[in-house]
Amino acid sequence: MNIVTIVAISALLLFGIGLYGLWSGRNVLRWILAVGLMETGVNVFLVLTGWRPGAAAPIVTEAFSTSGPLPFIDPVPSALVLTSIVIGLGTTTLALALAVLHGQEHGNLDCGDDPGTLEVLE
Amino acid sequence: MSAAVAFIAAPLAAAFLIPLLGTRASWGTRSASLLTLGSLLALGVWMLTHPVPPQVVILGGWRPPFGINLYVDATALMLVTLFVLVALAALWFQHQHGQEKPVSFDVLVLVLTAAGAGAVFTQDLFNLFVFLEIATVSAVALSAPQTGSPRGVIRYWLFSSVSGAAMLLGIAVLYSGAGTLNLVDLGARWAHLEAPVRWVSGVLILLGFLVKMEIMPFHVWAPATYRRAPSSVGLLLSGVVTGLAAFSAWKFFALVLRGGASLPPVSGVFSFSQALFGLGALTLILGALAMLAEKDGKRLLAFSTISAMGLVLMAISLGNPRAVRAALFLIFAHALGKGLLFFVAGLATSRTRRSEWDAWRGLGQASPSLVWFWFLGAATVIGLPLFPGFWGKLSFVGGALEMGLWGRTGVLLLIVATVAESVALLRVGHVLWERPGEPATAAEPPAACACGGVSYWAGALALIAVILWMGLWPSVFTRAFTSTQSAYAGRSPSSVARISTDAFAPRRAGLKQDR
Repeated sequence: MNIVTIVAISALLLFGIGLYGLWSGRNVLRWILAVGLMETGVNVFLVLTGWRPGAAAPIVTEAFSTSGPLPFIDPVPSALVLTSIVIGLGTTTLALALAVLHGQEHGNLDCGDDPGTLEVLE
Repeated sequence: MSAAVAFIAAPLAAAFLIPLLGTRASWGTRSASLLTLGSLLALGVWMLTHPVPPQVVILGGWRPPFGINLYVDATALMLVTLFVLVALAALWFQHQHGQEKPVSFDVLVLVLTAAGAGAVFTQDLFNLFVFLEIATVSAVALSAPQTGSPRGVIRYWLFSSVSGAAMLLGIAVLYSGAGTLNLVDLGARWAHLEAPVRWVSGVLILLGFLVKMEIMPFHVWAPATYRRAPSSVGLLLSGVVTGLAAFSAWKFFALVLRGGASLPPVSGVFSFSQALFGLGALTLILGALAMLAEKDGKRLLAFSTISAMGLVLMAISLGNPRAVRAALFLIFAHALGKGLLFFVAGLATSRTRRSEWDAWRGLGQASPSLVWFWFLGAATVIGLPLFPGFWGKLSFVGGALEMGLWGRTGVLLLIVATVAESVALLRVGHVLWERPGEPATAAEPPAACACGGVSYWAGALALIAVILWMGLWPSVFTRAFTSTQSAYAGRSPSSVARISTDAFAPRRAGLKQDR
């Protein structure tokens, strides 16, 4: 089994564990962790798409030559992963704020059905 | 650099600068956000009245397919101007009628507007994903209630995050096979990809769009979110977020999937397009039937949005010129009509402090304009003749009848859904107009009506003006939508593929591009 297969399986396992975490409970904190695992799995897979055997980080030095095969990994997926991590940070922070609101309102983090009749504030 | 870039850059810049005026909402922060959106609305109208040929805008000096490019044509400009109008109406409504919100409310509306414009213009798949995520994060934050249970909005966050992760996985799979993220370049390479890559990436990416479009069975977050959120946010969710998701889905469908024809049939029985058509039909009919059973006014509008997006998905999946024109008409009609309906629902809710529509009984007696606005919004959404929805549904019928048995079934479902939707919406209008039998029917006696004056109704009047224009003179929109459909299908001299490919190789003569 080569490194690509191992990393690909690890990425999909992370995604799968996250998916299982979502199905197996209604705790908000569990959901936040599960989504975090899924996003990490996707990011690992994304990095893998730019990987080439024996290639270096895409930094051009004086020794760089355009002749012959490119000695670099594909830099695009790395850039995409950076963006994805920032988006993940934003959504996780927002979710934690919502979890705090939930805890203050219900005294727990069990996200069941919304209550029936309620007073609505605009 | 095209002025279209201002639709992305200006609201983002304002969103970062306005908090410097103070973290608490003040006259200054409110004026700055309204001025930003008002200026963009004026720019949109100016650009639409001084049309130029469709153009490719190259960002950062990096030529596509390596860099990100925008495609700006009349339909894209109309849609972005509509988003700005809806955002302006929502912000105006919140400032005039809603509870006082912190300055972050205005900031999030500006970010959502910028993301909407970016998603409409961009021709890069990952960039599209980023704009959709920014729009969703803003919408989730806007939907969070100031008091009370946030359960509905937590579900919204959950569904959007999981669908976002699935979409990103789909993009990664697609990139691993095609080695590009440019939509036109992807479309050119799509047919040469291995079938599993096409299947996995196609399904995962479309899943992301379907959740944001509130298509069943991925809609379960929507009713509770709409119910808890202020009506101004309901307007934004319904008019901007679903609209930009639908337009983005069509863009992916038209440019990359080529109408779904390039995907292998599902089990050899029906095609990928027909699978999406079925999902849309299910959403259309169940959404409309759920409206009949719904006692809560805001949940009723949520199901109306769900049903409308079902019809848009059906039109997108049919893929023929008439159906695509119908999808674009319906996106516009839905945003305009739902804007008015949320405007009335918001006023009724703020006066009765209840969102059950039965509690709104008799409000129209004190403010008849509420009833008129409700009926105008309902007529637009239902599609009464000479209202925008009518042209969309008429075009859909024309497009569906070209598609044999599937299409005829779709028309039948559309008729049933329209009847159900009409009953549900007109019933609420009747309740608004009806005299209350007992003074205590509402949760509280209605407050003294402060309705009156152009400034009070400005948001609604702006929406009504566009509704009347689109309903009475649809030819301007029909021409723009037809031209866009041809451009995306590659049947026009200014096709997206052709002028984008020209941008790949800049030395070709006759290139219309802007940097």
